[in-house]
Amino acid sequence: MTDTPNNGTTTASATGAPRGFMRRAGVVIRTMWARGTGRFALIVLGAWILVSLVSLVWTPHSIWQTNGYHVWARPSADHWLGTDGTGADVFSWLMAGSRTNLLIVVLTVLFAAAFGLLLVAMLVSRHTALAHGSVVAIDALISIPTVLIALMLAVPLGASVTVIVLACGFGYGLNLARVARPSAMLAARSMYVESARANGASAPRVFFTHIVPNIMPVLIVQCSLSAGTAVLAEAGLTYLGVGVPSGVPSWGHSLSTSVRFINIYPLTVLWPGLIVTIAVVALNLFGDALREAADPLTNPRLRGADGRRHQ
Amino acid sequence: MGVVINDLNVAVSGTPILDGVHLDVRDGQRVGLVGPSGSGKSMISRAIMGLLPPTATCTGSIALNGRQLVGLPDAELAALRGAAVGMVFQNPGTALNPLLTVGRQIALPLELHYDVSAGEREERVRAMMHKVGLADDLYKRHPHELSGGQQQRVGIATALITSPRLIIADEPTTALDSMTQRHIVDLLVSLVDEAGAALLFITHDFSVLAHATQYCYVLDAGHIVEQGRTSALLDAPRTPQASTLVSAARALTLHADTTSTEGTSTGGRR
Amino acid sequence: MRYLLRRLALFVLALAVISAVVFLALRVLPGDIATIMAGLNSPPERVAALREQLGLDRPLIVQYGDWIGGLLRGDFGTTMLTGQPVASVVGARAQVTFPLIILGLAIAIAIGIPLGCASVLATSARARGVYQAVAIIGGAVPALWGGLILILLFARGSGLLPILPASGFPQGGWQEPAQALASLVLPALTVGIIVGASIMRYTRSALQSVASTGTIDMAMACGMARRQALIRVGLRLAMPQLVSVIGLTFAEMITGVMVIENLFALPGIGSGLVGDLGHRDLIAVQSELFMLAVFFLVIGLFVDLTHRALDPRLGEDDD
Repeated sequence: MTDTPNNGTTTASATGAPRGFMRRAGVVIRTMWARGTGRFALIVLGAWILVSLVSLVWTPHSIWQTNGYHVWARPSADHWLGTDGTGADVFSWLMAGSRTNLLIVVLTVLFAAAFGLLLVAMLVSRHTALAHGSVVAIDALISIPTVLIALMLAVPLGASVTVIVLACGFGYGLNLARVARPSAMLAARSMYVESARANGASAPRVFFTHIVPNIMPVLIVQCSLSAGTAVLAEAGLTYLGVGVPSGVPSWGHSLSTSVRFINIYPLTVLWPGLIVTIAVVALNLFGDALREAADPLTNPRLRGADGRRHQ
Repeated sequence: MGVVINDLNVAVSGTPILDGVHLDVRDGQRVGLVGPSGSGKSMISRAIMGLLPPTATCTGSIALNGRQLVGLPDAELAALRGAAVGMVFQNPGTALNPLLTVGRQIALPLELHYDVSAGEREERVRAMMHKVGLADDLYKRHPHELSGGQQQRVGIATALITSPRLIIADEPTTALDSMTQRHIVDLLVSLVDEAGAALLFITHDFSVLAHATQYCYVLDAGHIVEQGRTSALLDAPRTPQASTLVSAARALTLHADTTSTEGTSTGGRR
Repeated sequence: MRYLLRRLALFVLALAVISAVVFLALRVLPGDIATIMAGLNSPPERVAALREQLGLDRPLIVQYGDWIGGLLRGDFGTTMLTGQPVASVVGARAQVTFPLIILGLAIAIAIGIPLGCASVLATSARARGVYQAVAIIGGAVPALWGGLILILLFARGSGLLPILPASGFPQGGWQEPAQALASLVLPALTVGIIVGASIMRYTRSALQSVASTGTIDMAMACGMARRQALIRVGLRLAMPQLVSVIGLTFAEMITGVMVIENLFALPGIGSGLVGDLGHRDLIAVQSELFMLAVFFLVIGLFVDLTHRALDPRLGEDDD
């Protein structure tokens, strides 16, 4: 039995990587599900994605269907959350808004991650001038609030989803680079990076195979925090008139339109705010749960049998 | 008198750490507690001191000078800590308050438990610094300006300043180099004997225990697996856990012990 | 000393970078500044006249030099609408915004630090869960919605407990101190509760990281009770970390402040900036953005220096 031919083990290791990844992903999701907070996050985010997809093909009423005789209606069997000042269905607007918010969150996180990684790559670059320059640039730009960047961008671009995504992605990317810098520097100065470079590995190859995996935990947490903040920023920027343009459904849009009639119809303002709060809580809990579940130090199930507690 | 532990169980966040531990330290006795890292040694010292994390649950009995400690509110435990029991920590570099000068650090237990004038306090602190071998001019220094050995001397002085009847030393030499280790152990032993106090010495290293303690307990995975006179245990360990620790210690002491320790000794009984 | 000089050099460099970014953002991005200012449908002659009037036809570097030269002399330009100097307009608005920020931050600290300490001190799992929930939910509330809820609860005219004014700053400003202060209470409370939740989280994690070093254990071993050790020793040791994160929170707080100023109709820097943007008064916007950015850079500088002063282990000359 010990004489098993070599090809047996090589095929196992060749398919081992993707299968190992799926197994780990399964363990991670099950671990998150086992905790109350993780389960809450998974359910809310799942529902959010589902509603966004459904809203593309179906909402209880068309969001453009207005009725001048039926404005500010109370919740009823026909209009589950009532109607707004134009007689349009509040529930349908919130459903449609969820896809805009999902789009903003996904694009912002992708942009922030890409921009942040680019900055990290510059920080660990072996061109000293580039590395030092990027440290200075990050330290200088990080104290500029995202809302100022958004206002700047809104001058030429007008109110648009692009403004939110660019401003938030820029700000959160800077944050990510700053937070990830210590672990990235540690990895960049390590022996295995030295030896990889000595063996002629190119700079991008070293970056993606050695440095990115080392900053993964930081990346996960920062991305989930960014996602939550992006939802809040959408609400704020849309209210300030530089976010989602009027006519495009979003939670921030629903919140801002109900603000003007707060004294007359207080109930309508409840729903969009509640949804934003629940979504942001879920995104934050998701990041925490994912970090704990994906870290072999805190999740014994990822290390196999040996999970005995250290004193 | 001293401390008598009976059937002590400790669990942290539901994970059992200690399971039915019995352990006695009589007045004037020097007792070792040895075990591999992760065996739960530190939890015993934390349970005596009332330093268990908030997520820990603790059952059983710990009697300090006849007084039951388990279940005592934190305020009453605080009145005992630093007065009836002193503790020496593993990592003085991080345990000492970085904002306090050496003088104020050592004076802290006095300040918290006794109503003495500032002048008398300084006098007693300086006398204690002299005893543990800290130069007088270190009085106004901060811990980060001291060497590791000096920092641990500050730790010992802080634990002893109120002359407590029981000293717990939790791996006090692990963070130090081997020469300094020897000095610190000898210092601790001589000061404890001079004061007639009891000592609970916790370590994973048998070679340190040999001349620091008379009696010792071996802890493994939350259970006391063996106990007896330290010299007997070193010569003939009965359980596999103890023999592993003893043989590891022999491998180390082969180098350290042959370079005669008598000269550096400051009077520990052997 | 060397650290101080290096930090100041970084500050000056950052000023230069940010002035260039603000300047270029309004010019290089798609969209002609004169066309935007004149309005999209104005006749070309008007656009050309405006361009010449503002000197926008000159080379970029000359315009930039002109602007910076003005800033250095304290000349921030004039607003298009009223012709007042930007500096005095912003100065008047600052009398609303700074008290709002300071009051909000004071409330946030008064809420966040005690709650953060309490959440670390909590012994029962249930209490810990409640504190966690407060911290997470408090940080997830949109500023706009939080303000609305407070209006629904406490505002005169519409609230359940109508005790406070919900809108407007008195005409006389701080000449009428009681009304001025009263008008800031609800806005500051909104900012304070939301930022307080973040400060609570930061306090909690800073205290926990301090506790993991053993210093708290040692203080307890000397005879302190757990509460005493955490508050007297832990909080003091966590202070450098806390100052840093509160400084960073500050930059994010401004989004909330702008929203809150608009919601409560306060004539502050944030609502003014949004208004100028709406009037397409880009010269004023450019100076206002720069002034705000400078304000946040100063906060950053202050935070870094305080952090250093609070920690004796960071000596004068090492890194």
